[in-house]
Amino acid sequence: MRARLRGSVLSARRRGALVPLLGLVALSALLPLGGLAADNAPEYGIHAGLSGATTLSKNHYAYALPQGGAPVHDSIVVSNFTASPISFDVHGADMLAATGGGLAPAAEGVTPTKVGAWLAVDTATITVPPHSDVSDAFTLSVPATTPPGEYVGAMVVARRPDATSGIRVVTRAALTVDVTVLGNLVLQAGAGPLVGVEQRGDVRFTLTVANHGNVLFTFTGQVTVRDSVDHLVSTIPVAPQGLYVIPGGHADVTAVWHGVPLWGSATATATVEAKTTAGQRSTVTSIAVQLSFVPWAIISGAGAGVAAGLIALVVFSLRRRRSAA
Amino acid sequence: MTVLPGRVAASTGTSNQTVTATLVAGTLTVTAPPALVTNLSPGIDNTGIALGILAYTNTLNSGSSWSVTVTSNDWSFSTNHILFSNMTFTSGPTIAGAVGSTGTPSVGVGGALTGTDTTPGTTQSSPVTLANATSSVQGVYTQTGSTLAVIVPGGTPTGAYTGTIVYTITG
Repeated sequence: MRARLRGSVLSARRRGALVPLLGLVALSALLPLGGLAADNAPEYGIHAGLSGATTLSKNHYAYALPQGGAPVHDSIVVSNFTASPISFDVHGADMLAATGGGLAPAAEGVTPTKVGAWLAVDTATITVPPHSDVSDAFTLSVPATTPPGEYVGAMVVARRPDATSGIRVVTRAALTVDVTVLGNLVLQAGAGPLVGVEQRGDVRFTLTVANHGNVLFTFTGQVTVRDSVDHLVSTIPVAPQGLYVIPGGHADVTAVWHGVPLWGSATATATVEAKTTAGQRSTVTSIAVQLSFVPWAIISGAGAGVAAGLIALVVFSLRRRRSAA
Repeated sequence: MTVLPGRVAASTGTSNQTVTATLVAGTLTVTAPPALVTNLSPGIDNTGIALGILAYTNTLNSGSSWSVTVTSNDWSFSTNHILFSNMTFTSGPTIAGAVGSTGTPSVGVGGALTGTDTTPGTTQSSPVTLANATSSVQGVYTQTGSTLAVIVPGGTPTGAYTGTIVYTITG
């Protein structure tokens, strides 16, 4: 990708003459010249070395270890689906919560401090021949002083970009590495704040779900709306469902209440059920949010109508008096 | 001796064909257009820069939710930078699954890039989600319509800027 900032080589006089046109020129400069990939077929893929060969419920890269446990040896397989060799960087990385939900490994080049630092690959740069697989071994070594809890990182395979200049596009595929240090595991979810904003006749709720415990969880949730006499008005699932929240992390989800009343008040609360991979569950409820609905558009329109009527009445009365005089 | 033409009695027969089908391990991958060229104008918000088709595959069936995210660093020309905090990704609203895919990922909210820019021109932003999926969503997908908006401050020197956009699938 190349981004070129357009400059002007016009003389000062000509530039002055064309100032009104510059806006149009700038707009026309926004034509996206990027081409679509001629072929969207995958170039490469990754999977765990023992994928399909274990009885682990999560297929792989889920380790439950005692404190001070021995290192674990494993591998990641990189497949090249193309007719040309491809080079990759392979490394461990810490996991981050992404804006908008979901997880992503830390950026290339960032020195890991958690799970990423516990992962050591045998070969950091590999070249996979055409239509072939290469297995890269790695070792997980959890520091003996690591307190009990669930820790999430990733094994990352980054395809080296073809371009050496311009704005390059790099793709990465990452497999989650889920490490549980056995001991006292605490599932503690937090729900809130819940915020409701009226938008074009709907109310859009946003909810923050936080992980205050030491174990990874996924969650489902809903926003419940009740009217002023506590009757259930609506139950709206939050979206997206099934997001992971890493210990110490949070995820933001939304829910939209369609068809709000013109007039009245309501109370909304969010309920979140968090679930660990071991099946432990916890339900939390947010602090209630008060919602008030006033048809300001109708009131202001009616007010304007009344005012116009009064003005017309006054004008009419004045004219009658003048004509009578 | 007269030899009469032989006649085969009508009969039915069966023939078995042994089939061995090995379901190989699934895969996880993302494919993006390798390059995108655009011209930017200083002093305005350059919106609607088409990012092309993003294709991704998750057939791992690993029981994990998965997501597709994007980051960028600052775009640089000599000592000048267009900061990633001036960039906003909008997730493509259309995600299509190939034949055999199960379920469809949710379109991510996208958003402005954030993060601590410790080394301008090198540091990547925090990730922004383009798509999310639960573990039951498996298959081959294409996401179209993603765009990028870049605010270029007025007075930014002209030139060919370089940078790196990173797409990541995590499963």
